[in-house]
Amino acid sequence: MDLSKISIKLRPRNGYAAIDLGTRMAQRNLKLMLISFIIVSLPLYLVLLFIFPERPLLITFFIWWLKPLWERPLLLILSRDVFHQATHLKEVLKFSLTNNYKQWFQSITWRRFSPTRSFDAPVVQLENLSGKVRRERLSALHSRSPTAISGITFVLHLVEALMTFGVMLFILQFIPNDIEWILFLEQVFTNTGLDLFYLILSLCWYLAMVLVAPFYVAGGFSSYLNQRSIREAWDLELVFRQLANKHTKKKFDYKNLVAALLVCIFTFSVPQGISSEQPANNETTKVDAYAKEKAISRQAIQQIQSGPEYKRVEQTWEFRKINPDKPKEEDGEKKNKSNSNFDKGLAKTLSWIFIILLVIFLLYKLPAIIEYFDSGAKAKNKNLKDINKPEQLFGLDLKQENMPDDIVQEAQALWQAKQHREALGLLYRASLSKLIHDFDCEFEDGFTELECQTIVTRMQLPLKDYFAELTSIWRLLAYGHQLPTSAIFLQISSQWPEHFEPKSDPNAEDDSSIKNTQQAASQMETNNE
Amino acid sequence: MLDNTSKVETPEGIELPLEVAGVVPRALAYIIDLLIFIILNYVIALTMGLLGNFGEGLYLILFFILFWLYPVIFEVFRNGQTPGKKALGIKVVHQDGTPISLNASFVRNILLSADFLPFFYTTGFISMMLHKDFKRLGDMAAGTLVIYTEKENKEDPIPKEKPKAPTFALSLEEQRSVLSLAERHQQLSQARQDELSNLLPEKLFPANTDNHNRLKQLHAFANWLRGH
Repeated sequence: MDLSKISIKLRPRNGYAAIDLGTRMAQRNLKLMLISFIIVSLPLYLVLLFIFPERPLLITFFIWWLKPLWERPLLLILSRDVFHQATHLKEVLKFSLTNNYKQWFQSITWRRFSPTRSFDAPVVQLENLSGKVRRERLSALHSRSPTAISGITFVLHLVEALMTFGVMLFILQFIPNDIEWILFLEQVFTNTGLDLFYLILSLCWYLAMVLVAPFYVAGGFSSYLNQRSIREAWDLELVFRQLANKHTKKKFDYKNLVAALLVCIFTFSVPQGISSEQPANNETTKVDAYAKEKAISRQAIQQIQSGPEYKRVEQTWEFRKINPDKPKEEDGEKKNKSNSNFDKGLAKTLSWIFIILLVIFLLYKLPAIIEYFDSGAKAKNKNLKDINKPEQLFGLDLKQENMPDDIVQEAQALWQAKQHREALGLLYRASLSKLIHDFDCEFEDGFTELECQTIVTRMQLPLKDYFAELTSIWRLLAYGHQLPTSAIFLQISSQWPEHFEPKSDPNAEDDSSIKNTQQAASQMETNNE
Repeated sequence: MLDNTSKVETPEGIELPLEVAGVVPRALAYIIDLLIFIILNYVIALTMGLLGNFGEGLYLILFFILFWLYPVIFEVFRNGQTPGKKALGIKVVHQDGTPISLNASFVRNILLSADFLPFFYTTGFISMMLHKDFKRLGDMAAGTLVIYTEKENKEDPIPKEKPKAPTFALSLEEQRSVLSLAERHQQLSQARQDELSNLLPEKLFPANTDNHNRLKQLHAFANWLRGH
């Protein structure tokens, strides 16, 4: 076994992921595996069908029972494919005729219904283990993620059963009831004592078996590889070997390379590997050497098998009764189970009350439920919103804390001091700042004035017309250098509070502000002239 | 190299492997969801049954909602996981690895009925077993993947040694392997650990380091790599 030739990505996987890798292995070899399964099992199926045509279901059941034997060639194909070795159909045939029957009796009797069947198969077929050693080896390999290994047996049996009926219904859907040849066939079959329905069911079952078998074998084999890879750190071995090769190549020193290649304890078939390298001198020495070699290798095998890879170390946790004398708690007062005596009307009322209470409870809990389903996303969004509130738009400072307390007064004062640009700018900045913080307009960095205006219009705020006017005046001043008349400025600045500031005492304020503005207007008019 | 991942390339040119989940965990997750659905359905039917015709109508409406929206709501709002998927440690995402959207979840769950045909998910099973990324028809239509949720990256304890820098530069994968050898020191047998450390070139170690000390040296490197 040379790990550098391995064709699957080695890394420790969880139990289910290992099975999925098996599915991919099966996909890669699907055609060959399907054909192999059919070649080894179909002849027997047909022969039996020919001999006992009246028992088609029983025959498929028999074939199904012998499935461990049909699965062995599939495992052979996969085990070679893992090391990039292609298998020919001829080899499969040869294998199934000669080498297919290792421990066949056990595998079709008491091991047949083991939930870890496909996982255990490689230990017998590829590692050649039997008896006590096999048992210990298995229990060592099973020690991790046994649920996934039985999961594949459970699920794929389910798939096989469902698929049997699925394929059958699929076929039956396409046969109109009144078509004549079917009637004819049925007549023929009933005359010969064969029920068409059972024959089709039998065939469908066989078909489902053929389809599922490659995935089952591959899933088990892949889980087995995963277990060994984890226990023996194959992934590390591969990397370390490559590292060693890299460095020895530089120095043209093959000693380490050869040594590294020789250090390979676990081979799929230990005795064959050693015995095939015998020199062929004359008969007796050959036999002697063979016996000697056999003894040595047996010793080596025993040594390996006494190692920790074949033992299971278990750490278990269990609950223990601290005070065993303590009497069991009474099961509470047994509820009066005379519910059946309840008047039907009463039950109805109660369930109505229950539903109403449930609805009230759900309504009451609605925010919590929504939050439960929306928790992560919303929290993030909220934070983002806060962060996204821009502090600056087209070069204007929009921080709330930088705004004066009475914006209108400040603006008008600036206007009177002939700082027209600053005055209108303050008004516009204050509007934007208010829109962002109090009206929750979602302005983004890099928006233009018109884009802000579009957002405000789209939100259908009552102040949209006012804001549009303000924006156009500001744009004329900022980019066109066209000064609005004082009257327009006064009008727009005096309207500002009623749009942007919450009205606390509208009458008093309005009156005074109007008076103020009128006074200021007349004053300014005179000033200008 | 055959692997059970689907690779997504980000605009930055980084390849993200998504570990795709296959038939077995998905079927088990579906069975759990089915059981939950049956129990919920039973409870609703019991309560509604007492209400006569009105209850019957209400039951049908609730059944419709439960049947079609149960997976969608959980997938969209609970990080791509229905209770069954959560139990099995898998979740649904778009095939580019982004969280699943309402549209995609709706499409894949409506098409569950196509996968159901002709009898109890035969199409879905066959499709999942033959597709490279184990997709059923719904997944293909919606462009979604079912992947394993990543476990929290917990640091396994490594044996304490005095940190020491490796004598020559190791690639990322090699560094990871050295670290991993130290992390797995309790799972691997002592003999195997020594054997693995003997695979490495002698140059990596100070002169005349014997077998067992080589492992200690590697642990010292691991401590250094981890930044102790």
